[in-house]
Amino acid sequence: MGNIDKIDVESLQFFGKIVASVSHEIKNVMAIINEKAGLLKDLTLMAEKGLPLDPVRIQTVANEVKFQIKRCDTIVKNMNQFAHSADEYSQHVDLETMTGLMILLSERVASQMGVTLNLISSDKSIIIKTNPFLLEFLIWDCLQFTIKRCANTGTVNIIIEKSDNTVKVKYLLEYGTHNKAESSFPEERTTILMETLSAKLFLDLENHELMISMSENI
Amino acid sequence: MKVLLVDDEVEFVSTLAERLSIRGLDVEWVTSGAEALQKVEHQFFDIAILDLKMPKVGGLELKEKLLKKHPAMKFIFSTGYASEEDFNVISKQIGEEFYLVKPLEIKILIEKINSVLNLN
Repeated sequence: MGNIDKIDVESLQFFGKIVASVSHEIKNVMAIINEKAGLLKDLTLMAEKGLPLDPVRIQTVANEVKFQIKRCDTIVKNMNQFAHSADEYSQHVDLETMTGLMILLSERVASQMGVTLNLISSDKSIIIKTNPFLLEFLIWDCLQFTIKRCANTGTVNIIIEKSDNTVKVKYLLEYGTHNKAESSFPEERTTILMETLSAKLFLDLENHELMISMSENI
Repeated sequence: MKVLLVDDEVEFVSTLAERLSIRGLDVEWVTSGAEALQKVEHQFFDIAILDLKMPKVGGLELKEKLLKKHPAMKFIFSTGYASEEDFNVISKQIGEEFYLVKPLEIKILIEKINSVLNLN
């Protein structure tokens, strides 16, 4: 592949997966709005044929459309925020906000696999200087592993912590005894991401815990 | 004719059911594979319209489970897959004839139902 590194290809694949997932979400919202618009048309046609038109029913459908527009707006804002994380190589970011975004962007996959993602919020924001895109990739990569591990009715609790100059992203897994992640973890890309971000990974499956640890300033 | 709609997007499936009912179809809807399997315990449906991607039990897996209970049941799949590439992958698995991409066009859906049930 010439000058393109493996991690470059994997980064593009990560970006592509997020875009595909978000486009799927948007299509779902469009499908709902399409049905609501169709229903309004059906009700109008029925009124033309003499059936009474209920204003409350019309208002309810209009409110449901508005709700879906808001939902779509949030999806697009999240996508936009994610897309801009690749703008600069090094940036100050709020680690909890970033982790929250990756959780939101992973929720559809988690839901498909019957897993609940739960970000346990801390009192104050933790600002770090890092490569935002690569850290998002690492957080997402770990999320995918934990989701697979907790498949079918499991929960992943995510906690952000700071002590001295070190920040931690902890994944606390709740699952039954038979769930096992399909792939070996950490994979090569995870290791490269950790090295690039000067991060360390601690995997303690006996205690159902995975942790990313890194300096607040790289 | 009895139609069962299965889709995890409650707003989508409930509205589509209402629109099909307005057109004279006998429709029931649920939001998961587990609910669908409960529903068919005591009722027969001529056709089920299944979302391909649902939590825990997807449309293809649900079809197999429903067929075990009612071998005569027919199926149409719907999905939010966005691209032509996605379409090509899925249509190879289940056949274009039985596959609709969201947002659905209700006229086309009814034509497809009639075609699958040989009602034309």
